Amino acid sequence: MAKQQTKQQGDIWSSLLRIDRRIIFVFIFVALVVPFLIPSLTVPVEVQRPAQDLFDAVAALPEGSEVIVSFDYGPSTIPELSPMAIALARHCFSRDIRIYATAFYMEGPAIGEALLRQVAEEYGKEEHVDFVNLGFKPGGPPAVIMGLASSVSQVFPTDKNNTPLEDIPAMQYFQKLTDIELCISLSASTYPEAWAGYAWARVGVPCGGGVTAVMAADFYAFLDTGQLVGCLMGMKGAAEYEQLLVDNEIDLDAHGDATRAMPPQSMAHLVIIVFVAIGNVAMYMSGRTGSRAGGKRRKSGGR
Amino acid sequence: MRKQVPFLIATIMGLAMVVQFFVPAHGLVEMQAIVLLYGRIIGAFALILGIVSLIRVNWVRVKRKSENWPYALITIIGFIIMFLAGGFGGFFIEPEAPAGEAEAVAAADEAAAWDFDFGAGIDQERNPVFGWLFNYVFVPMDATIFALLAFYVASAAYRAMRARDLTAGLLLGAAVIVMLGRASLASFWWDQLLSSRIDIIPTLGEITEWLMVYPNTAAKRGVYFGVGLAALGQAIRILVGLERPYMAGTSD
Repeated sequence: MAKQQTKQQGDIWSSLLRIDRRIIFVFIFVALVVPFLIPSLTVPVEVQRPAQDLFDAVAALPEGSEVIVSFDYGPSTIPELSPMAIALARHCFSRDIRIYATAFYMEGPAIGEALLRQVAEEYGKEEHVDFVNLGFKPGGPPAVIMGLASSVSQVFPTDKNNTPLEDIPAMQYFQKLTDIELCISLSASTYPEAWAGYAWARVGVPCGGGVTAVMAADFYAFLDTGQLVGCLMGMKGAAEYEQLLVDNEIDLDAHGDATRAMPPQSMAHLVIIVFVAIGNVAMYMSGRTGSRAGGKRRKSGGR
Repeated sequence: MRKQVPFLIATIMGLAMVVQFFVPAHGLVEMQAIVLLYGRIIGAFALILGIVSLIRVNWVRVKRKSENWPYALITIIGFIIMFLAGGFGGFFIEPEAPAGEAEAVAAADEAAAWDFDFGAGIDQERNPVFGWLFNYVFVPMDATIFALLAFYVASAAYRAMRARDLTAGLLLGAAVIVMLGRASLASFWWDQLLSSRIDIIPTLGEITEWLMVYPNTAAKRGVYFGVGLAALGQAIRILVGLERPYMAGTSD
């Protein structure tokens, strides 16, 4: 009787170890969707050092200075990286800082175009006066960044939509990379590293970054050495920047997509952790019950 | 000759680029600018090569009716539609009139001579067809594929994150702390229940940052040093001709 009970328990734990992946999918789906359906559900965001450092770097720029925001990502990472771009654009436009958008991803300029125009409208800013979308240029970071160090018009004779640079008023402030106060690369890859490696190491222009959460671990080494002045890490990094805009009374309506995505992201993380805990308990228990049953078998076999 | 000439070009150019990095003399700086310009031009040609390759590979699959050929056909049709919408959309858009009267007259003359605004084709506001295709077809499809990752990562985490021994247990513990630290809700509960009541317990965010700044950075730095040294070794081997990746496809 006891042996049968142990076997049944072992079966339960073993079946938990082989749980159908669709069950996990359902739990993740519910964890992601339900918080979106409850708009009143909000969670406070604790600001971490990398986000604070990037915010401080932008805040320390003199009004009317120039920054590069490089849209080094495609549509797949829009949910994570575009909130960062929006928050950064709000911060820059609120301080009359001009934005020059570039991209190492072909899709980047189109993403940046829609987003910058949207934020510019909020702040009454004008394309070609307060921001310029220079577009994508093939050849890779060394050729493009070092080309910008020599002459912008050599690399980008026109902006994204084919307007010659000499017809763009804002370009009088950006002739060479040394005219730029800060370069920020928003990337789903290692492009902030390339900006730090060329714009900062070779030209001396400070660089910052915004990366997806999976890439975050790679960039702490660059923060520690000062090669990046700050970095936004994943959607939480974007939410932290939105929180900083509100806390510093720069934009009281800055809580946007990233802040709204915090409850679903938190719930999904918690669901994964619960499943990981279940998996480990099941592994431990099935091993115990298995060894108990096996031990008895060996004993009886020995006889 | 077929081997020596490429080797000499690669070695001389490679050494010149190394020298210009350390000696910013006038001629060398100008040479660097020219080389980088060629880099961008070659990059643009690589793009054309990619497009030709995409069409050719998929067209062969369609022609031979090989497995999943309809997908190849959809790829070609999608490419053609986006190419026409973006590349030639400018033909159907009226050029923007400049503000000044004299400029407007000049622009009208110019428009009569050449009625094509290339840039307007990829301006999402001026060319709504391109904007619609980009924002409502391409973006959702790409984002959907990536979003599926959340489900597969959850399933993979359930199966792979097991504390089978001490090192796996340490990895699991660190992963759980970082995941909780990245979840605002968990950080909030931790702080409310523990950190705010017991002074010596740090916040979950502080623990996460400590893990990322110290153990993670130490490990990453080791990896970066290793990669850097390997890249340096590889570069030296290429410069002295021990390895010739630029001659791939030819018998060495």
